[in-house]
Amino acid sequence: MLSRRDRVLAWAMPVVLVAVALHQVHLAVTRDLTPWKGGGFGMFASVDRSTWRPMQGVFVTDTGDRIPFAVHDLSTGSPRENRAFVNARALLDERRAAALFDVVESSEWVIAGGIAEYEGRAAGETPGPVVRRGAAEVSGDPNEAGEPSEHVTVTAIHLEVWRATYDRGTRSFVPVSAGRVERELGPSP
Amino acid sequence: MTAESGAEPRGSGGVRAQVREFLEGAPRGPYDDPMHADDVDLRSASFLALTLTLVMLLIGRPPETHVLTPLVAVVGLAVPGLARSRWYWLLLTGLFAHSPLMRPWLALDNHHWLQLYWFVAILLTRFATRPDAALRVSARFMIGFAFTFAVGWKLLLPEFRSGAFFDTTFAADSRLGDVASAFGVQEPNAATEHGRILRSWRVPGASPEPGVVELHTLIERLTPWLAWMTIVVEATVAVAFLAPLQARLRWLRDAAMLLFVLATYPLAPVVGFGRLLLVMSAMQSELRPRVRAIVYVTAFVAVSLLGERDVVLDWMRSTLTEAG
Repeated sequence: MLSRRDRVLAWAMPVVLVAVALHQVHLAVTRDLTPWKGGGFGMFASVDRSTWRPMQGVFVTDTGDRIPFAVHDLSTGSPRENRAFVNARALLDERRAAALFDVVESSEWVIAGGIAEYEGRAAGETPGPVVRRGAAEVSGDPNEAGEPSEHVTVTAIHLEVWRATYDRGTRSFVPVSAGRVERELGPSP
Repeated sequence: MTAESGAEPRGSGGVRAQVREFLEGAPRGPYDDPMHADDVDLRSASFLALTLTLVMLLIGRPPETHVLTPLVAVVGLAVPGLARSRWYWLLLTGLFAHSPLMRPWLALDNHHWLQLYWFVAILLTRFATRPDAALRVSARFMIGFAFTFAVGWKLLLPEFRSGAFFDTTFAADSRLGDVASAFGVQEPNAATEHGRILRSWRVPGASPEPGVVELHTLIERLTPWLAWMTIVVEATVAVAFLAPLQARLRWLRDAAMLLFVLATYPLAPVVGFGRLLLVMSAMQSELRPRVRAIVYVTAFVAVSLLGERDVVLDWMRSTLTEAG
């Protein structure tokens, strides 16, 4: 027979496994966590893979323009940026959305072809994301090179994540919204 | 087999005693239970499992392990007795845990979690008075519970039961798509082409729209069967590992695990996961030491070779193309 101490040591990790998996099932059922992630052993069961989830981000400017930004580019950024993006894509709850908003806000974006592309971490501690129009965007000449200059004031950030489903009848991948969040930004000081 | 002094006599009964026996994976019966197994058997299972664990680290790919891990694994393999030291496993677990803990929590796959649990279980049980007996219990129940949740998910989701999950996996995941194309029932680049639908949803400013895939009717007829076969095989593993089997039936656990590995990994070569399951299963195995070593080392090597599966699939594809 195992002693009481040995039983505790033997059962510790099986109990942790069950606790983490139950938590994952709870998050997946109640908050749209992808079954593929979170330690619940739901991989290879659902069409809703984390890597198949697209995320769309939009900057709303003070003039009311809506500028899509390349939020997926954050996955190639620093570990902090990658972590915020990967976690929010798998589970877009309040906490993870806030972390991703913080990262978007502390980044620099340059608009080219109507899309705000990720340039890296913004220098300095300015409130809100640093968004500038590229030289080509300002001049209207697509061949125009040079430093982006014109600053854009962002008043809100919208994020929406989708999950993949599959319709056997029509043999189609069908996107379904898995969550939408927005953050209003205060006026610049 | 020898019984330890202090063990409760058989038939002392009571619900409490039975619960305790279940928790130790040691039901009463006409055969000796694993906690009474002699130390030679346990030590040989532990030697096999810990050695394969170190080999697994040695041949694991860098993104999943710390750069120093293979070096420490080599030392553990080379120095006799080191792999039984708790301090050695403290170092190794720390190094190993570094990689998954530095990654986003929701980026980790199933096998990253199970690997982490396995290393911590080895470490914790090194502090037990009977480390190998305790690790045998950990290994058996971690496999049993992991498969219970895997089966639970598959039963819970209609898209799995209907075969839709496998439809999409053949259509857009090259791991299964390549198998289908090697058998000539799918275009060679179909998975990449279908993946474009999913990638188009990510284009900034795009409004994700449904996209149609081309799937051979044979695949569509096959996938519901494949889904239920997967459920049956995984449920078999879960039941075999969690049920309090009598000693003469415990080989069923080894058989169930080998069936799962044989049925799964040629199709979906997640080699790291396959190796880990075999290592854990070897620890709980009560086959004769020599048989156990032959079975598990062979399976471990076979699963590792599945990483080179593409060579075989390419050959099949070119042979089919030449045959017209």
